[in-house]
Amino acid sequence: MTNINDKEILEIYREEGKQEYAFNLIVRKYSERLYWHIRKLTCDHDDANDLLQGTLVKVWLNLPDFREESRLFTWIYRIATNETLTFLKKRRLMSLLSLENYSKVLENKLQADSSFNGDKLQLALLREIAKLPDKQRAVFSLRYFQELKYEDISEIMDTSVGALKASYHHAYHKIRKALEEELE
Amino acid sequence: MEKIDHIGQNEEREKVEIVGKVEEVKKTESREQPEHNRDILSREYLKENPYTLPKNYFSKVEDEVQKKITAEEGREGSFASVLKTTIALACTFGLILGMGKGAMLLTERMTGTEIGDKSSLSADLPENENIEESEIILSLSSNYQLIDLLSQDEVEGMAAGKERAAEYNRDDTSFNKTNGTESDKIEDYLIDSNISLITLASIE
Repeated sequence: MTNINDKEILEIYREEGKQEYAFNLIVRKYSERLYWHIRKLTCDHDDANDLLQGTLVKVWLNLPDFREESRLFTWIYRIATNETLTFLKKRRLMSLLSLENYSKVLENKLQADSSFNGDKLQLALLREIAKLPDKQRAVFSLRYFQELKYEDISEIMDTSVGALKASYHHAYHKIRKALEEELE
Repeated sequence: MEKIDHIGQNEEREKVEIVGKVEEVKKTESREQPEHNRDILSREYLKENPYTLPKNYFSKVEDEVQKKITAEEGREGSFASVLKTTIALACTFGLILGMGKGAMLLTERMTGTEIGDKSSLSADLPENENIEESEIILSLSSNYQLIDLLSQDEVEGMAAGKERAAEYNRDDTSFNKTNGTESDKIEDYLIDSNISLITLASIE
């Protein structure tokens, strides 16, 4: 993963003929982090892969219009989160039409995932996270796994810090209680 | 008084010391506590990613994204060209329709009539008068001036017919038949010559 900072990337991007090079730097820097964030929300590698590529394509197409009103990394994470939430909303609607509970669908995906190589507690954690509403799940993923500050998450989710703290703590205590019951 | 103050200060110092010792003991206990008694979500390994990914997955992402970008930009280009073609076709049709309409308007102005308006054909007819075809035929057959309209051969033929009728002493009914024949002939002539009854009715 490159150590170059976002300001330097944007400076390179503004140079004549260096747009593709700058974009590749963004891809190398952010693709892994974005992938795991998306994977926590979709619980599926293929979906996460498609959404990651879709996010990066959108970043490329919208970079010329990026006015640096926000930081590059919060802007990229916002695209990724919005793309994923839109995707999940469509899937939920489709599940509704076929009279399925989409949270149950996610749980089943986790159980059936052959690429999972964690322990029982890790699986239980992912299962409890999958039960959360989509936006709350996104907040939990950004805070717990990505370890982002509330101010950064506020820029990404366009939600107040207070609301984010409340949402995160509620999810945290709910999941902790469920895991403790699982271990008993 | 000074002794009491001194005792008070000593007591406070002791209290502070006791509180400090209790805190130290608590810290030691928490470090030594087994992991399962602490907050379960604070276990660091839970934040690790428990999935196996395809080999060299992230190194391939760059190439995959580049392919998608090329495809996306290609699709935008073809969409733009389709849009341009559609707009051009729509403008062409609009131009042709406009020209046709313009030609129609020009023709109407030149002829002074509106195309498709049949009211001009009956413009010479007096109002509130329903003239029936049979009435026109009857008036025509009694109008001797119309004999002029017939060809000379037809007139001679009619005259010959009358003479033949007289030779064979045919009754009045045959003469009436001849008269009927005459009106038929007039009718046939009018039809063959394509003269409209309305035109004839207007002749005084």
